[in-house]
Amino acid sequence: MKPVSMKSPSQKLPLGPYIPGWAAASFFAALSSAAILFLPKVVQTAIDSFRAADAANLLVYAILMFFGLSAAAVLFKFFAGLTFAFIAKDLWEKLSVKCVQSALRSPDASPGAGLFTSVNQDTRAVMQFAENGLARVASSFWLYILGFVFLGTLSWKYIPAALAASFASFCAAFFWHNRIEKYYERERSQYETFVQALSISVGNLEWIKGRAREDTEGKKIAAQSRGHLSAALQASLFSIGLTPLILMIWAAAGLAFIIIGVLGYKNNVLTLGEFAASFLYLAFFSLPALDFSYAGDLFRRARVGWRNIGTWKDSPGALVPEEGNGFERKFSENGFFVFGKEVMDREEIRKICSERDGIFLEHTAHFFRRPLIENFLLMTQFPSLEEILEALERAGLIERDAELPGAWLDRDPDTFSSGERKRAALARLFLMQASKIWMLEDPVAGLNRELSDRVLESLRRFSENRVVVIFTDDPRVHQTAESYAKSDLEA
Amino acid sequence: MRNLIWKHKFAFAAVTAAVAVSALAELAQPFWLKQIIDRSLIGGDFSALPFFAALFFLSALLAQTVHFFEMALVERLSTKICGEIRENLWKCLASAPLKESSKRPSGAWMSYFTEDIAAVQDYFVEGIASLANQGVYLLGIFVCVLILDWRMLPVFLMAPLLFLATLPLKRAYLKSCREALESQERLNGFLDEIPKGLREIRQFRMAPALEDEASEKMAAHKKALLKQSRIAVLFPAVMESLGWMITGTALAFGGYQVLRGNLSVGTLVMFLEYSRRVFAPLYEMAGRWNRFQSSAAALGRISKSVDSRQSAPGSESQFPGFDEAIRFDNVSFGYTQGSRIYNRLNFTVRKGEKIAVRGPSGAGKSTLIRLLLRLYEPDEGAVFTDGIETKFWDAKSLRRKMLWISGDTGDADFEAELKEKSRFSLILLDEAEKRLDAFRTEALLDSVLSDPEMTVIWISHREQILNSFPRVIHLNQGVLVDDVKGVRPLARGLTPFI
Repeated sequence: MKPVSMKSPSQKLPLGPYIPGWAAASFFAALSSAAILFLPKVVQTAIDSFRAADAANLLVYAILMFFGLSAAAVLFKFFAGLTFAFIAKDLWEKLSVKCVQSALRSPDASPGAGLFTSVNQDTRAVMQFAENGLARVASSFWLYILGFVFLGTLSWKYIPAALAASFASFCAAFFWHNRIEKYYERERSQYETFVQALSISVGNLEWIKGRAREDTEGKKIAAQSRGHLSAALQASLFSIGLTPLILMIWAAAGLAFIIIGVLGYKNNVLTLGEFAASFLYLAFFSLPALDFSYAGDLFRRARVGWRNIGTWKDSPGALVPEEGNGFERKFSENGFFVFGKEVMDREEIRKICSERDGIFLEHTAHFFRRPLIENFLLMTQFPSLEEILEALERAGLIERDAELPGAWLDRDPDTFSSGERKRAALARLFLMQASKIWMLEDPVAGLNRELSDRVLESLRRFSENRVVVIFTDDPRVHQTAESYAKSDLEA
Repeated sequence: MRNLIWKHKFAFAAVTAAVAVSALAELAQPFWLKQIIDRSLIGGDFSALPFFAALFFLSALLAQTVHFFEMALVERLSTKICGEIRENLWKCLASAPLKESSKRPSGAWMSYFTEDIAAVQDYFVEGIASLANQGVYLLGIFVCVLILDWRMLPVFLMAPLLFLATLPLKRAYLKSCREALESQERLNGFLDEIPKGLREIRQFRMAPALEDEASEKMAAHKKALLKQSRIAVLFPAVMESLGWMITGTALAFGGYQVLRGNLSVGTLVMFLEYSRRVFAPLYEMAGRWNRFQSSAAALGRISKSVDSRQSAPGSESQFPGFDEAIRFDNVSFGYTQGSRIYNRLNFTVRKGEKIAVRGPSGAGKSTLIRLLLRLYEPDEGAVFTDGIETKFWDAKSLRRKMLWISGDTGDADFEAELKEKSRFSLILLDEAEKRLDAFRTEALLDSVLSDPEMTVIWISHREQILNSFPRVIHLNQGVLVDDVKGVRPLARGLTPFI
C-alpha cells in the first residue's frame, strides 16, 4: 500500500493573497476618513460666514457639501468594512481547517478539548482582529494622520496638545496591552479545562444519572466553570480600565484646546469658527484612540489564539501510516494467538499498531453519530455494499440472506446495545483487509456462545494472511484457541 | 430564565444610577463650552473663563470614573449570571429524560455551555448596560436641548425616528445570527467527536473523509458568518450616515436661526456638539446592537432549552429500599418509536435473590437495568417495588439505593462503594467482568454473592459467572424464560479463569 500523500497544511499561513484585498480596503478607509475630516472645515466656513454679506448662500453651499461628503464617507466605509469582513471569514476558515487537519494527521495523543477550544476561541480571535480590529485600525489610522493636517490648518498651536495626548494615550494602551495578554492566556487555558470536564460529563450522562451523581458532577463542572469565569472576569476588569483613562487624557487635551483657542481668539489669530471646529477635530482624535485600543485588545487576543494555532503541528505528511514490517519479528509468521490480559500492555500495543499499521480493537469502540453505513463509508477504501454485508454477517450482526439487512445499516450505532456495538466494531475490522496486524481485546465479550464461535472462526480464517492476537481472560476463548491448535496439528 | 435576571434587580438599579450620573456629567461639557463662547469670546467677559474651563475638565473626569465603576459592576454581574445559567443548564441536562438529551451530540450541548453563554454575557455587558448607557445619554441630550432652546428639538427628534426606520434590518440580522449559531452547533458537534474517535480515525483511515467533511462544515459556517457580516457592516454605515444627517440638519436649521438673530453662535456650537454626541451613542448603539442581537439569538436558544426541558417536578418521596420484591408488570418498551424491545414483559425479583441474566446481544438485558434505574420509563406497564410503582419515588433516591456497575461506562473503581454495600438494596452488574481481571472478577463475585440480604442481578455471558448463580434467566427477543435446571449448585471455589 502506498502512503496517501495529500498536500500538507503549511505551518506558515500564506497571507500574501490577502494583501491586495487589504490594500483596497485601506484605500477605501482613507477616502472615507478624508471625506469625514472635511466636515469640520465645512462647519467652520458656515460659522465664519455669518458675518458675511451673502451669508445665506454660503450656508446653503456649506450644507450641500456637508451632506455630499458625509454620504461619500459612509459609502467608502461600507466598502472597506465588507472587504475586511470577507478576508477575515476566509482566514477563519483556513485556520480552522488547518487545526482539524492537524488533529487528524498528527500521530500524537488525542487533543482532548484542544480542538474544540482552538476552533471556538483561537481562530475566532484571529478572525475578530482581522475583521473588526483591522477595519478600525485602517479607518483610524487615516483619520489620525489626516486629522493632524486638518487641525494644523486651524492653528499649528493645537498640534503639540494633540500630539501630547496621543503620546499619552498610546503609552497607556501599550502598558495596558502588555499586561492583558497574560490575563487572556489564563482565560484561554481555563476555558480548555472547563470544556474538557464538560465534554466528559456530557458524554457520560447516562452513567452519571444511573449512579445518582448529577449533583457531584454538577459541582465539579460548576467549579471548572467558576475557574473559567473568574479568569475571564479578571481579564475584562483589567481591560475596561483603559477606555476611561484614554477619554480622560483627551478631556485634558480639550482643556488645552480651550486655552489655546481663547488666547488665539483674543489675539485675533483664530476665528470663532476655527475655535468651534477644533472641538469637532478633538472628537476625531479621541475616537481613533479608542479604536486603536480596541484593536490592540483584539490583537492581543488574536496573538494568544495565533500562538495556540501554531501548536497544531503539521504531521510529516502521510495521512495514513505506511505499511510496517518490523512487528513480524515478534510474531515470525501469520497466525492466531490468544493471550491472557495480564500480558497486554495497552500503551505498547498502541505504539506497535501506530508504527506498523496495525489495528488495536479495544474494549470500547468509537462510532460517529451517524448511521452505521456512513461510519463504514468514512473509511478511505470506501467498501462496497457487498463487502459491508459480508463483514456484518461474519461478525454475526446479520444472518446470511437476512431480510432487511438495511435496517441495521440505517441505525445510529449509539442506539446499539453493547454486544451489537461490539459486532459492528468487528465488522469494521473485517473490512480493513489492508492491515496485517490485528490486536483484539476481548473480541467476543458480550456475545453468546454461538455468535462468539462464529466470530472466532472468522478471525481464524483471517489469520491466514495476517497476525491476529486476542487478549482475553475468557477461558472459553482459550479453549477454542487450543482446539484450533489441535485441529491444525491433526491436519 | 427571567428569575435569574430579576434576582439581581438591585445590582441592575445601581448600574442604572451610575449610568445616569456619568451621562449627566458628560452632557454638561457642551454646556460649559457654550458659556465660554457666549460669555468670554463673544461677550468679552473673561473673569468666569477659568471656572468654566475647570468644570469642562472635571465633568469629563467624573463621567469617566463613574463609567468605569459602572462597567466593573456590570462585568461582575454578567459573570455571575453566566455561572448561574451554566449551573442551570447542567441541571436541565441532568433532569431531562435521556431519550431527549441523547438526540443531540454532546458537542452541540457544549455549544450551549460555551459559545451561547459567551454571547449571552455580551448581552449583559455589551447589550443591556451599553444600550441603557447610550439610551440615558440620548434622553439627556433631548432634555438639555428642550431646556436650552426648544426650537432645535425637531432636529434631534429625527434621531429616534431614523433609528426606528432601520428596524427592518433587525429581523434579517437576527435570522442570520440564528443561522450562524446553528451551523456552529453542527460544527461543534463534529469537533467534539474527533478527539474521542481519534484512534479509530487513524486505524481505520477515516482522516481523508473527515477532512472533507470538516471543510464542508467550515464552509457552511463561513457562509453563515459572511451573511451575518454583510448586515453587520451595513448597519453601522446606515447609522453613521444618519448621524451625519442630524449634524447637517442642525447646522442648516441652527445657521438659519443665527442669521435671523434668534440663536447665539455659542448655542449653535453647543447644539453641533450635542448633535455629534447624538451620533456617538447612535454609533455605539449600532455597534453594540449587532452583538446585542446575536446575543439575543443565543439567549433565545438557551432559554428555550432551559425552560422547555424543565421536566415536570418529580416526586419528593424518598425511596426507602424494598422488603419483598421488584416486579415488572406487563412492561413494553422501545428506545425509538416503532421498535419494541419488550412487549408485555413480566418478571419478579425477590429480596435477597441472586439472578444472572443471559441472552443474545440486543435482547434487552441492559435495558432491564436501565428501566430499574428509571433512566428510561416504560412505554406501557410499570415497575413495582413492594407493590408501589417506582414512578412514585424520587428517581435520584431510587438510584442511590442501587449500585450499578457496568463494564461499558463509568469508572471501574467501585470497590470503595462495595465495602458499604449495606447502603444499597440492589446491585446491578452489566457485564462488570469485562474490564476486570480474573482476580478482581472473583472478588466481586464473592462479595455480591456472600450477603444473603443483598439482591443481585448480573448480566453476563461467561459460564463461570452464570454457573455461580442459583437462578439464571434467559432473555431473548423480549421474552424472558427461567433456565430450567433442577438444582444448580452454588459453584463456589472457582478455578482461576485462565
